[in-house]
Amino acid sequence: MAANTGSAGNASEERSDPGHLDDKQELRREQEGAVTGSRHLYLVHSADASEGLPVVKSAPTGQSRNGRLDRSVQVQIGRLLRDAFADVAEEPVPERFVALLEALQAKEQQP
Amino acid sequence: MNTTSVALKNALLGLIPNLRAFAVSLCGDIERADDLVQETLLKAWNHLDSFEEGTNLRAWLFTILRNTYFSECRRRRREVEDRDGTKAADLSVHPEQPGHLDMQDFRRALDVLPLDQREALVLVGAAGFSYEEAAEISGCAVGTIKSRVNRARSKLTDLLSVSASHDYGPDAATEAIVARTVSSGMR
Repeated sequence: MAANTGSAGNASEERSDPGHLDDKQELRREQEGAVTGSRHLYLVHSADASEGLPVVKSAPTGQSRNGRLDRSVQVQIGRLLRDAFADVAEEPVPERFVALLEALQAKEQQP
Repeated sequence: MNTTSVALKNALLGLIPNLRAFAVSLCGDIERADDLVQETLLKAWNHLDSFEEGTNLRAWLFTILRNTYFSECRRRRREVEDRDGTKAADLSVHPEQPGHLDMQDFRRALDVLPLDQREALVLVGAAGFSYEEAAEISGCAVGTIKSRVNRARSKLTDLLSVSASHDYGPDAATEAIVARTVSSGMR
């Protein structure tokens, strides 16, 4: 394939992209949170169909089941995503790969 | 001494940690991830002539790795689906602290995402690629990557918000299964 141009760490485009939550949307969510309080009540349908009736539960992070994204969870997701990647990416290179690359290089140097 | 091969060896060595992290995020298993990395390194070394000098070596390696993984998945599709089924069932576990997402909850939720969404999310949200680069790595349109990232984000938010609000049960597991059925993880 034709490889990419541009630097690998080009994360800044993420911010300006319309597909993302932009700052205004995030701010609006924050404001909504401030108005309604972070601990508002909402209706959930019980997972147990035999009970039939919706039950009221407290949502500690303010997320409702109607698809409105919760800002605090979004922020945590971003952080956890980077942390999960970094957990592995910060490990030292296993010896097997050092040996493999040295073997490949040695092979190349033979006539 | 062949300077090209020395330079290549050093460049590859420097990118191995990133490749491993990406591989783990795709397959969820460090041993299998290391096998993928090994295969990627061998392919890269043997097909260096198809790499355009001056372009992004990291993106090129990520491309080789994900293509290797996806073709392996196509061969082992049945096994992968079975594994995902098991993971979806595992998800209906209550977190220790409501409102707080720990890494364990997060990894499980991530593993439930369809593969193409997980890949897009990791490339853009963790590995730091632009949408354009991620699209080239995944061999699809930029718009496709954007929509995968957005679907992945909202699905994770949904799964983890439910988890965080302590309202977590068969409902969420069902939701995860439905979600995976609707947008198939394999291309």
